[in-house]
Amino acid sequence: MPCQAHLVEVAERVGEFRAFGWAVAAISMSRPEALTRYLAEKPLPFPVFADPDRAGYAAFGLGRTSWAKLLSPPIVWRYTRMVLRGARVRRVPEGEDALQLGGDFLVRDDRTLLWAHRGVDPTDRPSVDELLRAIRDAA
Amino acid sequence: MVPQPGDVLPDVSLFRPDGSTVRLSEVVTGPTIAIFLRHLA
Repeated sequence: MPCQAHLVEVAERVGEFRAFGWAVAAISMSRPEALTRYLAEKPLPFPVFADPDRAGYAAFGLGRTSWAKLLSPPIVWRYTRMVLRGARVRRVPEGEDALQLGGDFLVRDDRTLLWAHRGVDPTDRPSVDELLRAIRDAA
Repeated sequence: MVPQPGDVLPDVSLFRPDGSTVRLSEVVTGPTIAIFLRHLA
């Protein structure tokens, strides 16, 4: 759910990134066919790629959390607040890693990493304003 | 090793939704925000 909320926020403000000359690309550990089904229901204004083997996740230095952290009271409380605001909890799709952490990165066209926000817990995402600040600082 | 700002990322392969493969270098053809998700569904 935090990923969904983050995607929605980024999608709603994608024009602000484009105004600075930045593109957006999302990467999911879903299989391509699952991505196709998702995008048919919820199209996004930027490309989404599948990384079911998580080679990209590893290359960007994204690690895994633990069950203890995933089920810790602060994280459970954050998920509970999302549910109370209308989010739906779903089972982790088959083949996906419930403990894999996500992240947001600024990458130059020569694949140079400029900035990284690696989630320290499943709900940890930068805001769009933080991303825009990072873009301005990278200029 | 965890890549740091200034490091060049490996040219990993990803998949488009249609199942075709694409390299990272084909994805980041200009300055790009790459968002790695936990779960999409």
